[in-house]
Amino acid sequence: MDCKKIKINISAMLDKELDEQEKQLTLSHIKICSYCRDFYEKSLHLQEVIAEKLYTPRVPNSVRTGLYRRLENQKRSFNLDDLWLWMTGNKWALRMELALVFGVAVLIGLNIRLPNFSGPADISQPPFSQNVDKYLEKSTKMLLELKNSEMDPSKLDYEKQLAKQLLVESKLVTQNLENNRTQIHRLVNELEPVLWDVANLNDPHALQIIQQTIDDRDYLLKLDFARKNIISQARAVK
Amino acid sequence: MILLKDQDQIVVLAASGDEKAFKKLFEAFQQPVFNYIYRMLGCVQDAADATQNVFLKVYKKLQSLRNPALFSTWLFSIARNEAVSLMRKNKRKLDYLQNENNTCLDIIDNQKDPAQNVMNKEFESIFQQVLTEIPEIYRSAFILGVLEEQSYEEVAKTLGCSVGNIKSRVFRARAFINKKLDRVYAV
Repeated sequence: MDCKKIKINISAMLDKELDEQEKQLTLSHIKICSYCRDFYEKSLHLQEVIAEKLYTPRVPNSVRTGLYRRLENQKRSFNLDDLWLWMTGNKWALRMELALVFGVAVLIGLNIRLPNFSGPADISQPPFSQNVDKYLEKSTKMLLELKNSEMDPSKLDYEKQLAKQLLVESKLVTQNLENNRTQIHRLVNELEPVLWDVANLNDPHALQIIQQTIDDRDYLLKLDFARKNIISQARAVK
Repeated sequence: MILLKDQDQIVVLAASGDEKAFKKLFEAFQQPVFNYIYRMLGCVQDAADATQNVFLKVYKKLQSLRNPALFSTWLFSIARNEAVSLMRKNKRKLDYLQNENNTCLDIIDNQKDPAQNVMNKEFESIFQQVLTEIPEIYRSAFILGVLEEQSYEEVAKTLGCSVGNIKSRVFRARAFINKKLDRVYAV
């Protein structure tokens, strides 16, 4: 073993950091090497002088009083350093914050609208039922007049036009009622072919058939019932 | 470094916000931390300020310490950073003999034997002067391993290096002090 390594071991031996085997090897070397022995003796003497003469001052009281005062101030005030320390020091807090930022970014990206919590709109009658009622009213009026008409079909231009208009409206009404399998929905479906016949009325024979159909199927009664139903539903919503 | 009974439990309590537990840790470790910083800087006032800062940082960051058994190495690594930071900030070599504000010399003066006072004062001044001339990495290892009598393993954890490195650093510091004091003082 070379002298440099021995000197390192001597230093460690004085601090009791050498195992027994290395200690014996070092002491054996010291006996035969004057340079290492010289280092050992000087280091040992320094150790003794430090223990005897070196004076380390006691901690000034100002450290305790100053620290406790600062801790009290710390509790009272909340600063950004503490917030940052809390935010970054806590792994889970940091992960939650990142997840929140990511979630907000996704929502903004998807342009998701939040539901309107301002409450239901103020309506006297639901819009779709208003349209349906008007449709049914016009249909009723038109079929009633047709039923009682003795005119020549060629002179029923107004009724034909009205029927065409009601056919268009029935499409809209049907769309509104598409998912609603109510009596009204069925009635609207039934009226469509009748309205088409009226729109394409050419001869008196066809008029008689339409008049007969209106009676047989009680369309006027059904229309009246449907309209009353809508009105009562609208009042219930109100 | 274990200075308290059930130290790990006290550390856990302090980390959870128990102020009493934190104060226990402070009372137990303030002197060793102060000793280390004082030997690093050579000035009592600077060491007092730095010790306060160290424990304030400990108070704020203790919850981030995962293993309570590593409290003392963690504490001294904070102390080392504080001392090094102050050293760089001040950028001054301590002229110990001319430091009139150093209360350590005043404390030595209070000892009973005047002759002994003089000798101790002289040795203290010279020794501290020599210490400040040692490079920081060797100085830290010597102060913690020799003056504070911490194990080399603990010192290695504090300074973030191997036990073999600590052995070497302590040896270099010792060899330097021996050489310096050999010229000035009868070592």
